[in-house]
Formats: sequence, structure tokens, C-alpha cells
Amino acid sequence: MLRFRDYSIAKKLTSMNMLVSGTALLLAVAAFVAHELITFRKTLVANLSIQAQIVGSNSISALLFNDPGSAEKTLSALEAAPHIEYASIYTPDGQLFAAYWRDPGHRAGLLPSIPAAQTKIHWFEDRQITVVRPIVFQGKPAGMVCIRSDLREWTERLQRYAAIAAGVMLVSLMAAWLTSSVIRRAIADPIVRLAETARIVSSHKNYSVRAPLTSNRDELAGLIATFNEMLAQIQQRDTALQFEIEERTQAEEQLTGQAEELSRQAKELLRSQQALENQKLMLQSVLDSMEEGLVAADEHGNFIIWNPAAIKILGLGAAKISSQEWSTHYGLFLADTVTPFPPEQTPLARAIRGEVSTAEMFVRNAELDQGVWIEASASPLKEENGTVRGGVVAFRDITQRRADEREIRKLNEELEERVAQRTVQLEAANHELEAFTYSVSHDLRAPLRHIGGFSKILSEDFGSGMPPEAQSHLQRIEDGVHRMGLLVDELLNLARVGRHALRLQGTRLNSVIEEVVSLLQPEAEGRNVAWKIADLPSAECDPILIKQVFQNLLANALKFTRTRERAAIEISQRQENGEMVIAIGDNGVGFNMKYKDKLFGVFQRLHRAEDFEGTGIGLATVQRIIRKHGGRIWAEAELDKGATFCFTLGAAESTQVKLEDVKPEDAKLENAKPDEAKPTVIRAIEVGTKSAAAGAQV
Amino acid sequence: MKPDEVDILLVDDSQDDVDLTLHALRTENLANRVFIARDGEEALDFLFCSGPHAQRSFDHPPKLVLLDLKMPKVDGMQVLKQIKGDERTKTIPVVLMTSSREERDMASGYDLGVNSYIQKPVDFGEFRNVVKLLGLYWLVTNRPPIANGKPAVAKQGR
Repeated sequence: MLRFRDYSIAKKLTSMNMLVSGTALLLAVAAFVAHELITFRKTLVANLSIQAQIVGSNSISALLFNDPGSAEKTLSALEAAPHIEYASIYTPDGQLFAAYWRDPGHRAGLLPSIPAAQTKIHWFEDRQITVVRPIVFQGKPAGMVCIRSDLREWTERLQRYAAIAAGVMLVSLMAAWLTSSVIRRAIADPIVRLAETARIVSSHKNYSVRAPLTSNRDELAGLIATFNEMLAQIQQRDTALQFEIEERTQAEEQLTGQAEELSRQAKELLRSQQALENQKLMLQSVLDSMEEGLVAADEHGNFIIWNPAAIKILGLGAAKISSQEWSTHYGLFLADTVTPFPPEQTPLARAIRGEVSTAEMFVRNAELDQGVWIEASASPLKEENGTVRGGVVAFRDITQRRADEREIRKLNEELEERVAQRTVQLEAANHELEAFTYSVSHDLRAPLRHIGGFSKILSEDFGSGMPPEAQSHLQRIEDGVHRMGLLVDELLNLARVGRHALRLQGTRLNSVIEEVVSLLQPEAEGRNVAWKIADLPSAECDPILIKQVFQNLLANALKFTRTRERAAIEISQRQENGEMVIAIGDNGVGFNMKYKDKLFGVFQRLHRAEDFEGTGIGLATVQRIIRKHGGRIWAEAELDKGATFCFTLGAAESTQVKLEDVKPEDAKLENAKPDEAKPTVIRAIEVGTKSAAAGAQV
Repeated sequence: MKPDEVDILLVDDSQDDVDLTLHALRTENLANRVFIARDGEEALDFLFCSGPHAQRSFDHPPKLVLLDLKMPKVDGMQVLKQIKGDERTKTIPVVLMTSSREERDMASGYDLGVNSYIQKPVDFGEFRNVVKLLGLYWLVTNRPPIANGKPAVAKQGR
């Protein structure tokens, strides 16, 4: 519940108005009613007393004559006063003489008991007033009159008063309320609006609102005007303040930014100082630990750096002398070791003049009586804008190097001489070797052919007359000749491969293989051979030699799968460490890997001649060809499980690729090759080659 | 055999080779008109009708010269050079037959204009076959060049 002082002003005003007027009216009415009632009661008592005296006077005779009947008659005259309920006359001794009741029904015994010796009293009792008056006759009490009246009149009057008072109150309160509303409109409303405005201002900080003006000319209007004026001022100030605040905020922000920047700069400065310090230390240690001498001078020729190595090499430290004296002080000489180095030509002096230069000089002074050779290179020290602020020269002791170089030159000359000698020897040996090969080719084959030829003739022409043993011996001679022929051919081929100038060209390996396979077809005749040939890329190689490789390897694969019901020969390729590896695998008899080192040796065989024929030269030739190409060859095998020969072609020996070395007969031979398989005269020309290539298989 | 009626001039210093070649030719009945020179000098005398063969005429050159390379005095290459270098003899077919399989020999042989180059096979069967093929080809199949204005008469060697 709101307390009064929390009420709004309008309510307060109304309540106050009504309370004041109500209270005043109430007091007035109350006083009036009280006065009326008291007056009325007095009047009532007086009237009753008068009536009692009248009755008493009229009843004296009846009393005296003891005539109650006339007394009663007198009493009954009271009927005219309707409010009198009862009247009675008593004898002086207190005996009831006569009585009257307004309502005859009440006759029975309801007589008021009159207090003893009380002859002139009245009392109120139970909405009734009872008056007792003495009857005096000639100064002597003749009896008593008692009249009882009801208070109906009084009550009625009271009620009337109350009604009037209530009406008056109501009207006056309404009047008060009306007045207060008028007052409120005049006083409270402006105040309320003022308060509302103030509230808006206070809560929204909105200084642009204004309290509505009243048409009055009172203090309130003044107050509102003042308030509004104040608001206007506040608004003005607020705007100004706002502006100021904004400016200040901006300024503060700027200030903060500047402060941060400053602190960052300070940190950076600290850091760069530290870095500088570190660099300085580092530079110092670099300078100290350098083996090269390092000397720097400013633009006036005053030394600013002179590291320990410089002292060690020159024998002397930095001296406060002009650059003109450097040569004499430090003992700098030209290469002839006697002419002093022209002072203005020393690398450092030139560097100070802005030139970059290098020089070799001889240094000999008191500390270096043997003298040292130094190699110095100098460049100017420049500022960012290019101004030369001095020069720096780095130099090292090249005494040893000069001696070494002399030694090396001497050795080189000797070496070249020796190489020339060896080359001559080697060329001679080569010639010898060629002559030997030539003679083997020619002179070894001729007698072989003779032996073979005559034994053949012998067996053909005279065989029928010979005992079978002799025939068999002749046959063995022929076989031996045949093998010997193969051996000679293959050895020659091997030698020829060594001398063969490598002529590299992009070669389609698949074409080469196709050719070789068709050449080997007679060997595969009647056998179940499954060829599986992968798509091989073109390779940079010598096609003639690479054909020999495939011829040997595929002939071997065919040969060693001969015992297989179904021979499987696979040619595949893979990339390994960026190299192409070509693999030729078969499911033949294979070999024990512990002999793999012997595989490529000349005359090395891993099978008995009775089982698998061969000269033991084929794989040696293959290896020589592969090596000539700069490649590698190796084999993986398991006894009775087959063998796989892998090779790479690598980077071929470049020394062999000189085209002018290529002899024309090579070209012809190459042209002749594809015709080998054809049964023409030319075939005979190539018989030697063919048998060499097929040697491994025959 | 008259020197003018030679089909084949066989030039070889090795008696063994001569015998084997003749044996092979004989098998094919081609050995009847063969003149054998045992070195280059003799072969040149025969071909150029000089020395012991001065009475020979250039009108009847051999149909085929089988020339060995390695010979004493004048070797096969020199003989070839002279044959092919002379207007009178350059049309005579010359087959180099040698044990050598030297490529440079082959190359210089062809350079000098040899008609065929044959490496003698070690195997006698093959050798015989080669000789037979050669004989049949050059003596029977091949049409010889016109020598000195008139065609050389092809005669069946017998």
C-alpha cells in the first residue's frame, strides 16, 4: 500500500483538499448536532416537566379527594402527546394512585420503580426518558407525577440531522474534489509534466525535450520556463561536452596509438641495439677467427680494423702513418720482390679512392725477413648514398700456394710427358693387338679350314674303305675344327666389340628383338615356346651391338629351356632409380647363384658341354657391350627354376661417340645385317658373324 | 688347257687352299679351266699378259678371278687395285676370298671395286657350298661384260 507521501502530487492535492474540507465540515456538523441534541434534550425534559406539573396540578384535587378516577381522566389527557408512553401519579407515600398507558396492552405491571426520596429527577433509560415531579399543594407534597416518554422524536431528529450532515458532507466533498481538480490542473499537471520531462531527460539523457508551457503566469510557469531554459543550456553544454568528449576520445586514441608506437619503437630500438651488439660481437669473432688478414681504413687512411690474422701475415700491427708510408713501413714490394709497391697503387689506397682491385705483392720487413707472398683484394667502404668512407682489404698468405703451384706445374709437365709416352706405348700396344687379332683372324682360321676340309674330303672320298673307328676319329676331328672355328669367331667378336666405335642412336628395342626372335626361329622349331615381349621404349644405344646382346641372351634363354615341355621367355622393362632396366627371364634350368660371379667371365661355363653346348664367350661379349654403353648387367637365378638377366644401358661412354672414328665398313656391315636370314650369297659373307652370335645356341 | 681358255683365275699362295678350292670346284665340274697363280706377281703377269704370259692376249680374260688377300710379294689388295685401275682389266669380275673377317679389308676391297667379298668359312661343307655358288653364279648365271668390243662367249666349263 502506498504511503501518503509516495502519492502523486495530484492525488496528494486532492486528498489534502478533501481531508481538510471534510474534517472541517465534520467538526462543524458534529458541533451543531451535539448542540442541537443537547438543546433538544433540555427542551424535552422541560416540556415533560411542564406536562408533569400540569398533570400534577390538575390531579391535586383528585388526590385530595382521593378520586383516582378523575386522576386517571386527567392522565388520559396525555393522549394528545403521542410520545408519552406512560404516566402515573403516586401518593406521597409512594402508592400508585392513577396510571396511564399509551398502549393499553402494556398495563400490566411495568411501572417504573422510582428511587426512594427522589421526587424531582429524570433519567434516560432504554430509549426512554422518565421524568418524576412532585405534586405540591400549599407547600406540602401531595404526591408525585411520573411521565415516561419515548425518544422517538429525538431519534428522528438525530437521523434527520445525520442525513442532512451526510448530504452536506457529500456535496461539500464533491465541491472540494472539483476544486482540487481545478487546482490540480493548474498546479499538479504542470508539475507532473515537468516531472515527466525531468524523468525523460534523466533516464534518456535527452536534453532536447522541453516541458510543455502553461498559459498561467504563476511561479510554476516561471519554473517551467526556467527549467526549459536550464535544459536548453544543459543541451547546449551537453552538445559542447559531447563534442569535447569526442575530441578528447579521439585525442586519447591518438595518444594511445602514439604511445603504443613509441613503446614498439622503443622495443625495436632495444632489439636492434641488442642485435647490433650481437653483430658487433659476431663480427669481432669473425674477424678474430679469420685466416685471412683484414684491414680497413677510413677515408683519411687511418686504420679502423686490423684483425689478428693481419698481424700474423704482415708481422706488424696498425700504425699511425699516412698511406704514403705504408709501402715502406710494411715492406710491400712488387712481384720482382725488390721494387717497393707504389704507395698510391696499394689496393687499400685504391679502395679509399673508390676502386675495387686485387694485387699480389711480396712483403718483407723487420718481422718477416724471409718475406711472404700475399694476395690482396680490396674494395671501398661506401655509405648508402655511395659516399666512400674508407676501404677494406682482405689478404692471405699465398707463399705456400705459389710454391705448390710451381710444384704442380712441374708435376703436370712431367705427367703430360709421361702421358704422351704412355699414349705412344698404348697406341703401339693397340696396333700390336690389332695385328694379333688380324693374324688370329686370318692365320688361325686358315689351318683350321685346311684340317676340317681335308678330314672331310678324307671321310667323304675314302670313308667307305675305312674301319669305323677311323671314321669316328675323323668325325671328332671335324667336330673339334667346328668348335675351334666358333671359338675363334667369338673371340674375334669379343675383341671387335672392344674396338667397335659406339654409335648411339635412338633405337626401337622391340624391332631389334623381333629381328632376333625371327633369327632364332630355327632353334625354337618344333618346340613349345611362349614368348612374352613387353612394349619397350626406344633407347639411345648402338643398334648393332644391342642386337648382339639380345641375340646372346635370347639364344641362351632358348638353349637353357630346351629341357622344358613348355618354354616361357619373357622380356620386360621397369624403372629403377630413374634407370630403365630390361629383364630377360626364362623358366629354364637356371644356375646356382654362388657361381654368379663367374657368369660373365671369358671361357666360364656353368654347364657341361654335353648338356648345353657353348663357348663361354657369349655373356662376356654381352657384358662388354653393356659396359661400353655405361650400363650394368646382372643375373638372378635359381637352380632348376629359371634365370633372369637384367641390364641397364646407362650413359654410354662419350669418348667413343666421335663420328669421325666410325669406319665406313661398319655402316656396310650394318646394312648387310637384316639380310642375314635370307638364303643368298651374301649370307655366306656373314656366316662368321652369324655363327658368333648363334654360338651360344649351337 | 690353253692360257686363253681360262674360266677362273685362282690366286692363292696356300697349296691347301688351292687344293680345297679345286676340290670344291671339281665337285661341281667347274675345275676344268682354272689357272692357278701362287702369288700376286704371277697373277698380274697372267692378267696383264706380261712376263711368262706375254704371249697371252687381252681378248680372253678369265670370267672370274678368285683372289686371296694375304700373299707374299704382291698381296691381293694390290692385285685388285691394278685390275680395277686398268681399263683393260677393270671389267673382269673379282671375288676376294679370304680368311680375314677384318672389316677394314672388306671396306678397302669394296673401295677398290671388288665384285664380291667372301670370308672363307672354316667348315668345309659351307666352304664347298660357297665355292659352288660362286662358280655357278659367275660362270653360268652371270652375263659377262663385253671385252674389247666383242662379247665374251659364255662357255660351259667342262
